Amino acid sequence: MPAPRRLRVARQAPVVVWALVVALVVLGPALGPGFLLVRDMVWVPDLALRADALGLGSGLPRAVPSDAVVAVLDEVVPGMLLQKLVLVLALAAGGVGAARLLDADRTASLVLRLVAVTAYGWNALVAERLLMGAWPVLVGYAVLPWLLDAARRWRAEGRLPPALLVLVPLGCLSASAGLATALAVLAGAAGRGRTLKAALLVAAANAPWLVAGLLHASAATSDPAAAEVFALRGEGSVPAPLAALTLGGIWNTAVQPDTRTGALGWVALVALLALAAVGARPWWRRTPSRDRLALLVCWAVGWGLAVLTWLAPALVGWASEHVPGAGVVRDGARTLVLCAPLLVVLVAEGVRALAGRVPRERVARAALAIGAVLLPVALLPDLALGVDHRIAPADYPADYDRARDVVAEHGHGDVLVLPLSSYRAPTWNHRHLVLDPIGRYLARDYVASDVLVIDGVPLSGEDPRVGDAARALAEPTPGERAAALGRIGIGVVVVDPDAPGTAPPDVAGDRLLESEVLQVVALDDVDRRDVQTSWQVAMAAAWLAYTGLLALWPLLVVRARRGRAARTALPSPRRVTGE
Amino acid sequence: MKILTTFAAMVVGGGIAAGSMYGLLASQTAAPANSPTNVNAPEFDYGSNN
Repeated sequence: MPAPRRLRVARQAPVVVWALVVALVVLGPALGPGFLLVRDMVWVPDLALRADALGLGSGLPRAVPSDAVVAVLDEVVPGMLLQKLVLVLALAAGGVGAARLLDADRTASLVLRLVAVTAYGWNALVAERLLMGAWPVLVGYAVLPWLLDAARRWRAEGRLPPALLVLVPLGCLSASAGLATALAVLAGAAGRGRTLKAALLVAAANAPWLVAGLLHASAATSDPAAAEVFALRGEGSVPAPLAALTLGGIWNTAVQPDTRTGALGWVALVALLALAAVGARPWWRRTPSRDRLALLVCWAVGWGLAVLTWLAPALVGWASEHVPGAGVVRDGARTLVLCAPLLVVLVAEGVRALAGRVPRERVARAALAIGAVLLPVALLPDLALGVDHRIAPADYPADYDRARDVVAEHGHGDVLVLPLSSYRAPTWNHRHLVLDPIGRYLARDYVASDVLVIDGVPLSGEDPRVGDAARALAEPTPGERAAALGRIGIGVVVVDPDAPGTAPPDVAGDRLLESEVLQVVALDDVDRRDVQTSWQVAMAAAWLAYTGLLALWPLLVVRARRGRAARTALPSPRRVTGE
Repeated sequence: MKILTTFAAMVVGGGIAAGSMYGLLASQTAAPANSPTNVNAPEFDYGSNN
């Protein structure tokens, strides 16, 4: 019989509080006023819901559906606050979900559940993805244990839990997060007539990026050299496959926490693996086989794909070059989100097994409990306070607002962002590296470089309009450049004079803004860039499928409540005796 | 044996707790990491394999 609601809340409360504490310590000063702008994490005060956010831009849709979701939500909650809420909730919710996963049989003590919270919210994967600015991956990571828990309830109760209609779309904010979500749902729910429903569910939630990717199939193959660059990588002297066992091993050594590359990296590996090994046997005995299967499938696919990028980068490169969309798995460490649920459950089970061997002296048990809960912190102290202050809030210069206003009032056509380099390190952002934010700040569709430079070597981008723009800029006179840009639908040129490299060539037009931060030029004759009707219909269907899940959620909640009420109202069956 | 296990549990648990606090404080009192970007480069590196 389920515990009364009051008792369930009381049981969960310390776990939720600890998860929030962990999230707040991880972010620390990053939660101050301002926007967190780091690598791919670009949030603006008011993101516009425009064609590229809906998957109808000219480039490969890299921020679908995350940009559209943010553009809608920031109409209700200001962008700055929304970003902080998303990050805090993502970091905290994952830990609470992991504790629920561990506590499926309601036998896990509070200490064990707190261990699960810390282990899930404080690890190399969280640090590295925060520094990469991969917030949709972190949201998907947070959703993962909840998905597995909901899938288990689906199997047990025989009814689709309404929560999945929200959790699955939330877990599919990017392509890689969507694939991990799909695998977790299928691994957890497949079987006995649920497989088709689960497949339809994940297909609908992944439809926006999937359909947009298919529409851009000609550009959906990526530079084969990228597979080598983005492959799983060792951390310090810890080899890549071993680093992956404790959720580390991102390709970018610049975001690997210092402690992971030193002796503490080895200590973390030994400590976590030892606990997992101790916990493996009791976990195997305690856990129903179907639950074991779900966690093991997720772990095996996650670790296997990650190690494949390290073991056979040429194969991954060939697939990225020839199979549209295969480049999604080229960032090897990203699939490690799938390994986290099993690792965390095994570590907590290891603590349970060790606790059983400790005498009942209160001091000893308390010391061991505190040590177990804080172990992930001891192994990775530099995750604290915005990953050692490497994420810090910043305010956009006032000229960004002026640029947004003048672009909205004057001119037409899309925006071209110059110079043609993807990343900036503005002084107003503490010189932290960030994807050029001006395109997102403005309300129009924009063209910007999508070339990635790794160790000075450029990896080609996918947006064909960038090449068209570069050719237009190569024309000999400002007037000819403006005319050529106008022919590809560019109506406004925005130049960041603070960006590195040689200054872009002049383009003829009306100078709408001239400052040390931004220059804005409106062009005269601009051709309209039309989006094919078939593309619009296809994307409308994809968005209908995605939003349809969210719309169905309240209906399913009401139906489930009525079903529970009806069952409660039924008289309990009278025991039949032999008398 | 019981005393030994109790002592070991206290040492391990207390050690980890102390280590956590020391690590947190040490990492926060060290000089802040410099931005890895080279402002004079023609284009910023998105990342590094080295």
